Amino acid sequence: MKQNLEIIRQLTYTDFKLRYSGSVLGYLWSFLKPLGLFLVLYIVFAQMLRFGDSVPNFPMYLLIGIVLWNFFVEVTTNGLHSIVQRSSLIKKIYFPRIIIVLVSSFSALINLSFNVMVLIILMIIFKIDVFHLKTLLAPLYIIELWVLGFSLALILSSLYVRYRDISYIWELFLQIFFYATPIIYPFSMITSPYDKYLMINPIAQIITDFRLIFITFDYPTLPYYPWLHLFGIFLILILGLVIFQRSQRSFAEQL
Amino acid sequence: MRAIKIKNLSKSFMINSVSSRSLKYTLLNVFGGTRQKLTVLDDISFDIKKGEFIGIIGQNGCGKSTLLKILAGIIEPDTGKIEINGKVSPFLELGVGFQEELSALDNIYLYGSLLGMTKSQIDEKLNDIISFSELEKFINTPLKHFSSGMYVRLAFSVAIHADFDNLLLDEVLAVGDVSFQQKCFQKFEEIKEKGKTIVFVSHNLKQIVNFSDKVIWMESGKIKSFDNAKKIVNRYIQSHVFSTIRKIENSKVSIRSVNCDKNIYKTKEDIKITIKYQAMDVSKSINFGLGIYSDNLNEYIFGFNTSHDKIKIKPFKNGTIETILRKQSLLPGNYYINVVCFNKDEIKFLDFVGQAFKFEIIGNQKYRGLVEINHSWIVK
Repeated sequence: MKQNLEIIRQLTYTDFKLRYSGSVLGYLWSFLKPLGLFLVLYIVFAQMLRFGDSVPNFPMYLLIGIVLWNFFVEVTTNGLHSIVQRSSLIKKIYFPRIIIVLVSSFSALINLSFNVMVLIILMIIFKIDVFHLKTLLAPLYIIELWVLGFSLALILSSLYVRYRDISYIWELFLQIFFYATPIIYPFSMITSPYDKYLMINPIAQIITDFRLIFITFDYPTLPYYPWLHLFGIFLILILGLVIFQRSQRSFAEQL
Repeated sequence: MRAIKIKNLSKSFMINSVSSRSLKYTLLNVFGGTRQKLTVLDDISFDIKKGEFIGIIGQNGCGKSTLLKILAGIIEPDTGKIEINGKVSPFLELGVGFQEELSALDNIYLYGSLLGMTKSQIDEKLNDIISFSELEKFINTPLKHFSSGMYVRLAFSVAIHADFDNLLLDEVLAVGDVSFQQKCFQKFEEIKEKGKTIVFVSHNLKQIVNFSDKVIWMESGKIKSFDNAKKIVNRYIQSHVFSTIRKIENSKVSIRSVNCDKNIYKTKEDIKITIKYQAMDVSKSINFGLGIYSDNLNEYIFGFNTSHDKIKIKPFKNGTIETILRKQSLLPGNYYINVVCFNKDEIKFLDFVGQAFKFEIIGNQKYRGLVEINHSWIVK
């Protein structure tokens, strides 16, 4: 166990070090990327389009959605490729294979933490109350999103070893879900029967609740399906673990 | 005490003739496609005792590497039982997981962790690892600037300092320079003395003979024999030599006998070799060649043939040729001669006799090596 923790630590550290190796600005890019994105959103949506006038701080509202969505995309896409990418490791040395998927999701978490830092700074600049008791709920939503992404990554990475089509299928799936999730449009714009369908999507629930903490100061409510999402994510996690456990035995042969 | 016990181990792979990595292929071939079963390991059993140095030899594709991968836990066998006492450290490829962009130091920690070391263990052994690799000056240099020799040294130093009971090595020392190889084998001796077990796959038969206690000879997925290293390697070489000789079919020439005038000689004594042959077709000229090998190391010492010496042989129906090794300079030891008969083409042979004659050179072992070279000293 202690050795496995050390492997996780070393692989995560390596990923982190390699991410910006060779670039002049290095880790600064982790801040510059979300900052640049915010600038674009601010100019387009707050100055030019006046698209989300019904929502206060609409650029922030958008940025939260995009940051969380990008995190989900990164966890699942990196996870999907992780096993195949590290095939040389898998073929030559034994350690629990799940570590590889876990490490790829940690890299996404590190990236997210940079984004969140930018978010916090921007929120302070825009006088959004960050130091609020409800803020404590935010990490829980991130964990919820991470567990969902990681569970899907377990399934996707196992399938990807056998079927290379999975990466295209997942890309298409993400495109569809980008619009099936209130990321670039305010959730309040969705009319009555559809809001219910939209809320079945756990990512929609997480992003909406996350925004509720900071942008619109309501209590995070789960009026639609109180326990469905947690239960669903738990099921996906179990499914992911079972599928991964069963297929990992033949990874070294199939790669 | 037993280190590794393998019982009735079998493994086969399903080989697809076309890549099956697309869904389309799978969907089109749900009712069986063109999959072929390839048995790589076929009912293998053996025991390895603690502290033994075991060599594994065999031709490519005989299952050596698969066996090692199963011992390392990378591949699961289809059937059979594996019992391994203690921790296994696989060294199947140089520097698994090495990152070119990172420094040697970072890579030590990365690779060390993959080999099952904790950070404190690596901290403790860091000085040993660095000094063994002789890379003190380059420890903060990114790996991409390393030569392949430096790469080997770094990878090997980490692997050898890992905390293990059983070390698995797959043909990895072939790369490093000779002096580093020597150092590694010295380290192996130390490891052995500590009661640790080493399983070593190599095509370098000399290394196998020099360091293994016992050798597993594998042939098409089975263990052909498992015995004393020298014995197995000698038999392996014999069978190997014969299998690589491509004799012309329906050859018109056959070597009847090969004899020397004695069995035992002294250094500097002439050796007379007599070859008797039979030729059906006397119209085409033929050549004879001799190869002298040392019996215990299987080292090729000297080879010569009639075409080298610009001698053309017009064959007789029943012919004899003689050659004299004048004042031969072989040092005391056992030797043998291979005899070959060929026409113009030196790749295909009319006839070949392996170990046609064995002889011994006696005398006092004054010098070292295989041959005595005429020399003089000048002291100024």
